[in-house]
Parts: sequence; C-alpha cells; structure tokens
Amino acid sequence: MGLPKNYRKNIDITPHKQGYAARQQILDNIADPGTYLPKGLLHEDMDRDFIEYVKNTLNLTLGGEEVPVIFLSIQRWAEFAKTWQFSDVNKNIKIPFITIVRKPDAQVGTNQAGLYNVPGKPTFTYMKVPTWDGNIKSFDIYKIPQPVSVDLTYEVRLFCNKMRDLNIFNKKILKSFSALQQYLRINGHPIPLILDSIGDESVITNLDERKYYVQLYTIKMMGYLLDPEDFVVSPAISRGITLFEVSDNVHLAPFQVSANEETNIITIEISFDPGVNSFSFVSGHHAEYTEVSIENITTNTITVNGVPVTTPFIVNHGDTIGVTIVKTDVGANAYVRLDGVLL
Amino acid sequence: MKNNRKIPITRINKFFSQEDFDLEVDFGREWLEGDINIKVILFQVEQGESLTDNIYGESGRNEIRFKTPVELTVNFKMDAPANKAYNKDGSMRFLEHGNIVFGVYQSHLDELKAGINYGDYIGYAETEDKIKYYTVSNNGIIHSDNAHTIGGFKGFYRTVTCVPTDIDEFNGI
Repeated sequence: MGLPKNYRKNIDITPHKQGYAARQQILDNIADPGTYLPKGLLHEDMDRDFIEYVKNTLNLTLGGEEVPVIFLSIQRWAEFAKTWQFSDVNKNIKIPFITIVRKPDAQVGTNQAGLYNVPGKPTFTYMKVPTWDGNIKSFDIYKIPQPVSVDLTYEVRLFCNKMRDLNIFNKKILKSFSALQQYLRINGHPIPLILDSIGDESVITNLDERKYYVQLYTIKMMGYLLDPEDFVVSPAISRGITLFEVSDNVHLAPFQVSANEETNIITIEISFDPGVNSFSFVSGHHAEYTEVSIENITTNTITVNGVPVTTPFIVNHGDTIGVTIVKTDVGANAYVRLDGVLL
Repeated sequence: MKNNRKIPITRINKFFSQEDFDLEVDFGREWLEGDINIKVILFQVEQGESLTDNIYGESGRNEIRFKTPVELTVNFKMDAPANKAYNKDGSMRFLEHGNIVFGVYQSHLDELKAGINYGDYIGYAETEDKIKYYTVSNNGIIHSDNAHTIGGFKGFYRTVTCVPTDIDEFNGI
C-alpha cells in the first residue's frame, strides 16, 4: 500500500541549535578544551583535513575496491612510499587512483573578501581566566591576534579507464558543492571550500599511446592562519596603589576681574581650589578697594606689593595684589571677593 | 573487398610466380620460426560475448571474453620504456613500457585461423613468471604496400602496433 501524499518518512528528531546558541556552538568548537585558548590553525592542519575530506567524504569505491587517494609533494621517495602498495609488478601505480596536489604558492587570502585590515599585529582579549594564588584573587588575560587569511588551491585528479567511473566521482563532487561551497571543520574552525573549475587532461588523442581519463578538479580553500605561537597569556592587574602629592606651587587659583567703566565699579573674584591657599596677580587698574567678602576662610591676608593692607586700600596700575588664606574646610573650595571703585 | 572469384595474380610473371612467392615465404618462416622463434600471445576479443554496459560499451578487467589464446611467431621490436609522470607537475612518475611493433606472416595467421583486430590484446612474456599485456592500436590489415610485398607481387606479412594496457582494463587469464 502506498503512502499518502505529504507523509513525512524522515523526521529529524535531533534538536539543532539556532541563532545565538548556534553561534556559541561554533565558538565552543573552536576553543581547545582545557586550555582557554582556540585551537591553532596552520597549513598542515588544512592540508590534513582536506585529504580526509577527499578520502572520507568524496570516498570513491569502484568495483568493490576503494580508490586510493594520494597527496603528493616533490620528494620522490615519499611518492614511492605512498604508492608502492597500489603498484603492479613493475612498481607502477595501478589505475584508478586519485591524486591531490596543493599548489605551493599559497596566496593572500580572500576569506575577508580582500578588505583592508588592522595594521600591525595587535592581540585581542579572548578570555579572562580567574586565578587564585592563595593570597590574591586575580585574572589571567588570554589574548590572540586576528587570524591571517590564506587561500590554498588543491588540484584533485581522478585517473581511470572508464567513463562510468568518471561519472561516479563527478556526481560526488557536484553534490558536495551543490551549495557552491563546502565547509570543513578544521580544528573546529569553519573553513569554506570553493570549486574553482573542472578540467580534463585525459590522454586520449594519441592513437599509439596508452589511453586513460584524467579529470581535474581545482578546489580553493579560503582558510586562515592562527598561529599558537602568537597567543599571549599575561596576568591582569591584581592590586593598584594610587599616590598623589599636593603642592601650593603647582596650582594657581582661577580669578576673574570685572571692571565697569561707566559705573566705575571693579570686582575681583578669586577661587581657591583644594590645596591652593595663596594667590597673587598684577593689577591692570588704578582702583580703591573698600570691601572684602570671604567664604570657607578662617583668616586671610591681603598685600599690595608685599605690604599687608586693610580695607580700604588703593592699588595702582602695575601693583601686585597678594591674597593668602587659611581655609576652614581644607578639602573644599574657598572664595575671596574684592569690591571697589575705579579712580 | 574480398571476392569469391579467384583472380590470378600475374604481376611480374616473367620473373616471379605463386610458387616463387610460396618458396620465399617458406624461407622466411623457416628463419623466423626455426631460428628466431619469438612468440607473443594473441587474445582475440569476443565482442558479442564480453560484458559491456549499455551506454558506453565499456568492460571491466574481468568482463572481457576472448577466444582461445594463440601463440604467434613474430618479427618482434619493442621500443624503449619511457619515464613519464601522470601529473603535469612531474608527480606520480611511472615507467611506461615501450610500444611493440611486430611483423607476422599472413600465412601464419591463416593457418591458425586467427585475425588481429583493433583492440585485441597481446601478451608478451617478459620473464618466466611475468607477462605484460598490450592492446592493438594498428592491426596492419592493409599490407599491399611495397614494403609488405615481394617485388610488388603480393602482401605476405602484416605489421602490427601494440600499446601497453592497464591491468584495470585487461589482466589476461
């Protein structure tokens, strides 16, 4: 009996994280458990996981036998060491097989779309880890640099003798890249792969030569480098001592002179900040001061050219007026106001 | 085109006849089979019996059916092996057998009732326990040119070219 339409045969009952929880999950994957730091990511890590991707995800089995996947570098003995078990009596590798060659020229990465980046090599706080040495509770600051983008290009070739073998591998590749990109979780870091091109290098044109198919898949890995050597762990500040010194000579009292030529009234207002108890300035007016108003001051002494005076007193143009006070509350501001008339 | 009617060959009949031709061929075969005695094994593919897929007509290595193999005594030449690489960057090196080019008397093939077709397989015993297989890339079926005739009288041997084959394609018996 057929199933009715819209009958769901595959129900995903595994809960999947979404939104913030999903993003946090990605960060948790990147973090190396037990170290409070992310796992490093270098060329070797990306090469290793790409080989695993071809071996396990693109896994090609033909005629009941798994097709060997061989990563190649330039060392001849290394190549022989990887291929001898798949070779014939003449020590030649037997078709079919898959090779992976990484182009040695790793390019500047496009992981960040080629945008400008932070100059220099600053490190940024990744985590604050509480510490306790038995006496002092503190933090260690774990800092990491911004990863450096790098593009790695891999050439994956399938060598085989039959068109139907080509079809099987081609189908696997195209399905893997059906969403244009394929993500690998390399040391927990999500790294995208892009299928750059599919080429053909088949040896089929020469009649008097052995014929075989060679299908080339050029795959670009848009990765980044995160070097554990650049990680910084430093203790945070656990105790601080703040010292300050008070000196009469350091600060001056702000003052304001208001002289009205029409009414001939002159007023000098002086503000003594905490720690400032004396003041002097050169007068620009010829005036007679008749009244002194004070605030937060116990005693005060006014001098003209160094000579103590009491109200009323006359100050000529160019004379130096000095005011010395004793504050009632030393931690607060004090004010002196001189009122007089212009002469 | 082969004709049921027999057409007498009377070329250069003032100096040469079918008896002379047969005698020359006998001399040659006596030398080739008696003195030189280099043999290859011919695997004639049974095209109707071999297992092929419906779309591409391809067979796997254990899917090719062939007639009873026959030994051919041939005038043998093997090219030097070539050091090659599967990848363009020089990796996946392999040593490719040289092609085989052999001459075989047409009368020898006729006696064995054997025909050599494009794509048939040839085995050559390199050592007592090592045999290498080739596939025919040129069966030399047209042998009426000057080089393959005696004085232009009639073609008497074929030159066959064979290229190495993968054991994934054919692995003998």
